[in-house]
Amino acid sequence: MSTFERSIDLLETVGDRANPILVKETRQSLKSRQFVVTFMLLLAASWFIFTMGVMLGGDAIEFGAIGNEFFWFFYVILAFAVLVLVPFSAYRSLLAEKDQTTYDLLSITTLSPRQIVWGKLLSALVQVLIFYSAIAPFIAFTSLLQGFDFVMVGFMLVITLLLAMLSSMIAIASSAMTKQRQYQALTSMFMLGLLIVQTMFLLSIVGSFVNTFSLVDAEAWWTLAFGMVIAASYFLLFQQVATAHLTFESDDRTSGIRMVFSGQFLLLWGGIYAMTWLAPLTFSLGEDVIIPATILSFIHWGAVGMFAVTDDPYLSRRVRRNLPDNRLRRLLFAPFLQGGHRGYVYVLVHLAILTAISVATVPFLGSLSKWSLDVPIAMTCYLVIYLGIACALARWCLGLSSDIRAGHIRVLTLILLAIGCMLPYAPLLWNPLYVQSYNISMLLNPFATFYHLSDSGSYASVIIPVLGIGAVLALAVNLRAMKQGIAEIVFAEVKPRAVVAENVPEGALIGE
Amino acid sequence: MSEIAVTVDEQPQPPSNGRGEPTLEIRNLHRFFGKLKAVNNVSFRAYAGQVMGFIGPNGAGKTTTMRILATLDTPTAGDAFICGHSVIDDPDRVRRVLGFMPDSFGRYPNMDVVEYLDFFARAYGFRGAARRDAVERVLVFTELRKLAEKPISALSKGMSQRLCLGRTLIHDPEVLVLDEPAAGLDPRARVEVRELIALLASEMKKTVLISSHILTELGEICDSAAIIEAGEILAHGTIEEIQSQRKRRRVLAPVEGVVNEGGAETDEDEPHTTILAARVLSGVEQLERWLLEQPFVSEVNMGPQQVSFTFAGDAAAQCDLLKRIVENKFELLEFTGKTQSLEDAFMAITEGITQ
Repeated sequence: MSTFERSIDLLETVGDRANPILVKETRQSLKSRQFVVTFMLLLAASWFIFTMGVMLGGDAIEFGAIGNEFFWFFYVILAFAVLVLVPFSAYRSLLAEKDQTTYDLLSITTLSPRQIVWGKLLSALVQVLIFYSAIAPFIAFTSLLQGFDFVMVGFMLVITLLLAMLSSMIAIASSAMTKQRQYQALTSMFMLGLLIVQTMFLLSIVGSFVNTFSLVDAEAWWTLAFGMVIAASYFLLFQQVATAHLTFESDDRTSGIRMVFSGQFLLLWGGIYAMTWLAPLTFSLGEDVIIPATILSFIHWGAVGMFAVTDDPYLSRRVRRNLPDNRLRRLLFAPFLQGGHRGYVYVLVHLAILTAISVATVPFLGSLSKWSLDVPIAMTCYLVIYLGIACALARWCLGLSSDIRAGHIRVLTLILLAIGCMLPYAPLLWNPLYVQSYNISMLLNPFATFYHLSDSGSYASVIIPVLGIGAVLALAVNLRAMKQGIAEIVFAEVKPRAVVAENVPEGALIGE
Repeated sequence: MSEIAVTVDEQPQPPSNGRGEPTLEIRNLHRFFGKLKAVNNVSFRAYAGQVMGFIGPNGAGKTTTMRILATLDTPTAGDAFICGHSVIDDPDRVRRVLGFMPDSFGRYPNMDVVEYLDFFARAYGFRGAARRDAVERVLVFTELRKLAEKPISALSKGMSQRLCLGRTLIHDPEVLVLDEPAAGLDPRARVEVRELIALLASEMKKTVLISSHILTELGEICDSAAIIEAGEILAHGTIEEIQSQRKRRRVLAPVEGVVNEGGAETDEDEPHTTILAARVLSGVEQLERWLLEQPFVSEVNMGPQQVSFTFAGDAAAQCDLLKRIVENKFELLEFTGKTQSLEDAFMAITEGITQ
């Protein structure tokens, strides 16, 4: 067998084992008018820049160091194609499957949701590589010019490729989440606008980063590595979100997402400690790192918590059946499973870890820092209170009517928070000249309280005990539900082939 | 909020009629959308080689039930089993043994027939020669071989339905759930699709659950049927059993103060009735008047040279009636039992309730 025949065989084997969605999408893309038009426009624009550049460049083409400037023009065209058009095409691709009811056909095959998501992503990658290959001859031309920095160009192309993949994953997750058909045109416009804005923003960041980036600067490499890890964590998160939205209703759609959120949190703090340990000369653990990381962590758990605590408590038989046999492992796994009560436990555990980290980082703040331990403790208490309210509301309201959704509970909780923030300023309604310094009534406003505490406020000795009592009350209200939620997992006994009817109105079932 | 757990094995089991384990089984299936009870306590079974019609007016709950069977939706309560696998617990296994043909044909743009089938063969995990064989088998069965390179957007409705059926068969499933497979087809295409379905059950021993509005066609290919209205099964069984049911099984209102316990009127409560027709050379009006005076006779309808009527007597009484018609000098040309069609049964059983 000749080398050619062996290569053909190898290609056939690869094609045979390739993701079916990738094969389909590639076949469709290569035949689609949209792709051909985009490809031709990319080539035409590159030819135009090449021709105009050569015409207007004059002697500078031969004697000037204009390689990088020339490349920049081609790069902008490429960036528009791979950071706007490719992710938008990935977004439309999944949406079109839903529109044309082909998604139903797809979802009843043996393809897993993860395969579908990765198939869509890989076909986006193929498109990106085709656009790269189209622009390659022009970049090869610029490489002949003086001032062309091979390393920097290679770096920019790699970074752009990774950003294109991240954008495509975000786009796929967004289309997986889009349920309402009537909003599709609107969400498509929004997505396109968002991608254009994001591309312009990224271009400016990449531009400024490249201008200041030095290959021998260790701090720049550390920053880049840290940024890449954060981007990778968000890539994973959006992949989980897309997969969860495409997963069959009775399957576990929650634990993957919750694990990624935990991973992101641990990665942030693990990364900070690792950098402090690995690169002590370029990175030190001080106020400028700890305070932003702490605030970011609280925002993270506030946002994650709002979704976790308002989750539907229903746990399907399929999920229960796949629980680990060992009770200790079940106990550890329980907070990651669907359900607002378990979600509250999940957030509480992470808030406890965050508070412990805050205590551990106090010695690194330095004696001049105004940031005291009171601030993270107050933040923890506020989150425990508001998320506790949301969890209780979800438990009480979701059972009342199927018209009440988790989204309504989140909005209601945010309204309560907004009222709490505004109430201390109510005297301004009848006295516009009223000037209010911090007093105990402003406890309702978390932001004013944080500011007061971080400014070594005089009410700290009152604020913390009051917030502590509030947090204990919130815990007490949800304690029984949390206990039930965990016990349901730890002591679950699943009989095979049981018909379980839940949320069925009285009298609707036979024998009732 | 109520939680009720019923072990399926404790449920009363209908007889299997010597056909082994059912390949399709629905048990106490419920699907509610808010207050709307789209599917309300539906139960039935189908066996290998059986073609079961699933009949009901628009909005009766047919498509919802079929979507649950196809693992596209989950029930509010109850369960369904395909070859013993639960659609809730084992959707992955169900997908391997079930082929679902929805009422709308999902077309992929920029794809030809063979690429379409090849994609679904890949999606069902076929590799290499097995994939090529699966595609070839389907192309031959659906007689689409000569259209293999044609773009699917250029296919006629009939050919599209064939392709859709082909896609349903690509992984050689044991159970087929077909939602309105003949909708919108011309008479020739309808006959062709019908023949393919009949072949699948008789030759390949597939279980076929088929919904259609064209009841005459269903009557020809189905050996059993389930009639659903407003989310509830009104009648099910073989075509003969359903045809013998003239009245609704449910009594919606008590008659003359008599309350039927459990709200159900069983087959035993209802006398056996037959529709008979007598064709005469002349004297149709006299025959109609005479028949109205005879015992067991009701619902007499007069047509040109023919009188049809409902007869509630047994075979001996029927024989006696014929003897008396002849004795009364009616010029009788023909005396036949009129077979009640599935359409007649459907019209008699359903009330046209929409939700």
